[in-house]
Amino acid sequence: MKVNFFVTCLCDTVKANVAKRTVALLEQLGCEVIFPEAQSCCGQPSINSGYVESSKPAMKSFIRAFECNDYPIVTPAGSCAAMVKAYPEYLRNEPEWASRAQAVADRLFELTQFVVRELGVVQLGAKLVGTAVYHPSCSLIRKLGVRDEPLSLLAEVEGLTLLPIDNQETCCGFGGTFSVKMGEISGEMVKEKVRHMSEVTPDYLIGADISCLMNIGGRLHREGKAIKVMHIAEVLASR
Amino acid sequence: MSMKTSHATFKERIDIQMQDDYMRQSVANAQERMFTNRAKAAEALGNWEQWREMGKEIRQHVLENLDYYLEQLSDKVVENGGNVFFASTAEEARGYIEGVLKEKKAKKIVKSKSMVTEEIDLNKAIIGLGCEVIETDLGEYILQVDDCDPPSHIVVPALHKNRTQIRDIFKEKVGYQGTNDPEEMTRFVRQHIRHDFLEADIGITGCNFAVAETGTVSLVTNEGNARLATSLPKTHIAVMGMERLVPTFEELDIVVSLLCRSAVGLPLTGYVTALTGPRESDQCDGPEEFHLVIVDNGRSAILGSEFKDILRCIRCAACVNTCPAYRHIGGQSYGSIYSGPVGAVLSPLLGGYEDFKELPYACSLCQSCNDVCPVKIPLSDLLLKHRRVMAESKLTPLGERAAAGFFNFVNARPALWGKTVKAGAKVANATIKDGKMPFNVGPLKDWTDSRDLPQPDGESFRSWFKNRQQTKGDQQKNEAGDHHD
Amino acid sequence: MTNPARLQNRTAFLENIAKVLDRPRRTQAPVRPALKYRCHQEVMAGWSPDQLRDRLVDYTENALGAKAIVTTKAQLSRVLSEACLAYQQNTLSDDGKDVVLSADVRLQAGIDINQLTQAGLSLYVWDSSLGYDANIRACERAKVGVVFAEQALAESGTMVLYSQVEQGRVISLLPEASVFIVPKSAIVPRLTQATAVLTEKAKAGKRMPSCINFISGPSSTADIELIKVVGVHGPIFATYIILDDQ
Repeated sequence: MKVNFFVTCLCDTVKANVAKRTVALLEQLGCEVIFPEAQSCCGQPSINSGYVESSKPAMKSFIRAFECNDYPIVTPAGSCAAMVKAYPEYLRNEPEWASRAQAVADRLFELTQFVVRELGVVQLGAKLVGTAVYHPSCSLIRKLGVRDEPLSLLAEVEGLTLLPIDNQETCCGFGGTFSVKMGEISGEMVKEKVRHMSEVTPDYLIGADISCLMNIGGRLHREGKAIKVMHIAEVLASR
Repeated sequence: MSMKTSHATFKERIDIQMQDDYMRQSVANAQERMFTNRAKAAEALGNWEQWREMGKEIRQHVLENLDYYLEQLSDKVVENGGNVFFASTAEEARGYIEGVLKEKKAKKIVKSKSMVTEEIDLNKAIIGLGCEVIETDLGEYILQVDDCDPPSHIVVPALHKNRTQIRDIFKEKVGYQGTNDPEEMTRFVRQHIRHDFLEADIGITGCNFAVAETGTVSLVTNEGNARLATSLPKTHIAVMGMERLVPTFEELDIVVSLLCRSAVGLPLTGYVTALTGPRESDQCDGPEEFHLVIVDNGRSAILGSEFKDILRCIRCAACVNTCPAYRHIGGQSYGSIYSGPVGAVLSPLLGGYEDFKELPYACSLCQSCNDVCPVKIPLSDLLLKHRRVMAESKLTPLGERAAAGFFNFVNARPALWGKTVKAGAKVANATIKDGKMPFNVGPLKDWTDSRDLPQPDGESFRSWFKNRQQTKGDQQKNEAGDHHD
Repeated sequence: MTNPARLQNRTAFLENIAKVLDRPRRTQAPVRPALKYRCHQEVMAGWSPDQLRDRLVDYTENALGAKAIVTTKAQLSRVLSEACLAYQQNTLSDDGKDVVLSADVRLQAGIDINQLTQAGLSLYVWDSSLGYDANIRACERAKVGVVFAEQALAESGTMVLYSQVEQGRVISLLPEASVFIVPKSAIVPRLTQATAVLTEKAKAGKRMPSCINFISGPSSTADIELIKVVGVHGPIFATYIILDDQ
């Protein structure tokens, strides 16, 4: 099966290893990975700040980039997937673009969603010994409705024990530009998240959204906590 | 108190509030308890999604036919012997109520908790007439006695104060001599203001939902103060936001059930009181005269806008109780009587962007509010709409607009974007050391105030992938070549 | 025809609403869509009167901090006397020992006034003809108010009261303790069945009672540190007496 890979700007620039692991994972599952080079950022920083009108050329550019074929599109980030899935609504007043946006959105899957729902696989032969807190990101659970897929994948990882924390489903405080525009509030949110995590002293923090992991990881690093931050793609590639 | 509760800037307010450890602990505890209670109550009822869907449809139907239902309601109130005044503005509403007070030569007014009367700044007008007005809901009473401290929660207005602070306020202002025990203080207030109910000339209440078909005003309460205020004084004035009604008692069942479970996690609150007009002529308690004041004050503008969904709101505060931003800044940071997600949507609409422009950004877009709203208001989407309105009408900072423009310019040009990403990866890799950059300004500083930067993984993914494909291609070519050899 | 002085500013206000809704003023009743689901009808559907009674008692005692007593018609006067006497001994201050009784015929027919008096209760029976002051004064100094409920809601431990000539609003409001009497046959699952009665009344063109109360236990608050305190402005104590009439 051929799949397109939507890397997302954060993975492209600073977290390439997550993207590489995702590609490896898809290849392990028998997918041939295509990387449409014309892809760019989903536009979240601008769209979620209200600059919807001026973001439309970029949305269209993104749509065009993935119209290069009809294969599914896979991305290792819930929030970017959710953003692209909102394009049809934003382009509502341009019916032709709205339907092109819909066609792309319909082909787009977040990584765990794709592996579990589309490929029907949960056992990937991964092994990671230790305890972990899994952070269910807001985009994943509330925007995409992806709640169980990551958990069913992690349940099959040999040696891994997930620890529940208080207020598990509460936002980590990232929120895109919120993290800088409302830095104090965002900072308090991530401090609380780290406090709840620290209460159970896990070996790992695992998530499926690199932005949340950067946020929580940045706080863990600041506090000098020895909790290793891992994207679920990295966990599933562990042997 | 008008809707706007502070002249400080948003930044100043959150800085003060975030220093208040008691408030923050109290809000965190309250959120957890109220969130859990709500979730349990929804679970116990069963079919919660169906209930929410019904709630949404009922409220939507009313909004779409609001002129009809308000006409029916007002006809019915008059038929029942009451009076109805339609107030387009806060001034008109105050003016009418002042007229009633003067005509009745009122000296003392007892009030039960009502957000809309806060919104129209009614108490100031009443005091201006030389009358005494007593807020009788315990939480509101505490705030009134404390020199009209602004509320911090729609349902629990004095949530930010602890028992010792409350005891000190009572001691200083109303001669309380007891301990800081909540029960003792509550009993004190009971004894202390009972005579006010008996002496009051007029009782003023809000209205949770009016019933159009019967001309009924319903009040959802716990303390009994609203019952006293509508049983003892000779005149009852109810003030309602124009959208707060349902067609019949059949729909009242659904919305009251949703309200009680969402607000306090109970099947019903202590008192749900349905008042229809003044008392019947052969009865001896209850008001002889009933006035219903129906307030627009900016609501019709919302009804005709892309924000109309917010008018479905039933003021349960479930969104407040789940909001992680509210959790850390507390209600008074919003600078409005309406706090939390609903406050962040409603305040700029009723009070303008000038005073409330930051509120729509005090949200991480986590959508937890959308999930709990009993009438399915897409609160987080409405906050985004606010941002869009402000961005597109150039109310956002120039620097931000320029940055967004630049970003969108690059992002719409794939080749340029590709180069930028590759360069960005190199810069990040070269400059971020141990979570820090050598320079720390602007957004970077806002980020690093509470957390470090990520450790970059080296070259960009796209560079890596391209090389890999080339290597693969070369290998395949070589393999093919080998084969031919 | 309505009196214009009692209905002010309506036309312009409603015209404006029609304008923002971008359509002509709606003066004909819109089709009221039927409720989409029946989940509210399904709560405790098919429960027997005994099951509903048990649920009411359980919720009242465990969630509301109120008392629920099940008794028979023959025992009502005795049970009521005991409940009132307990409150007289158990109240906050010593002034006033009266019990105010609703004049509701269903209540009056069910009790023996002499038996109550002999038990040591000093009684005042609500009398609208005496006017506001006399009745309010009686309730203000009474320890206990006794009322008869139209319905009881099992789900929420709720007593449904209609204001009426024989039973004023304040009997269940001013005294420190409230005693509600309700026949078992009047226990329904939830608010749905209570509002259905009112909807029927409205359809029949009847005026609603001016004050309908759905009362669940004594008054309460959580306004100080979210700590529940029972007894604020309304009654501090409540007892439900359920008459086993079936």
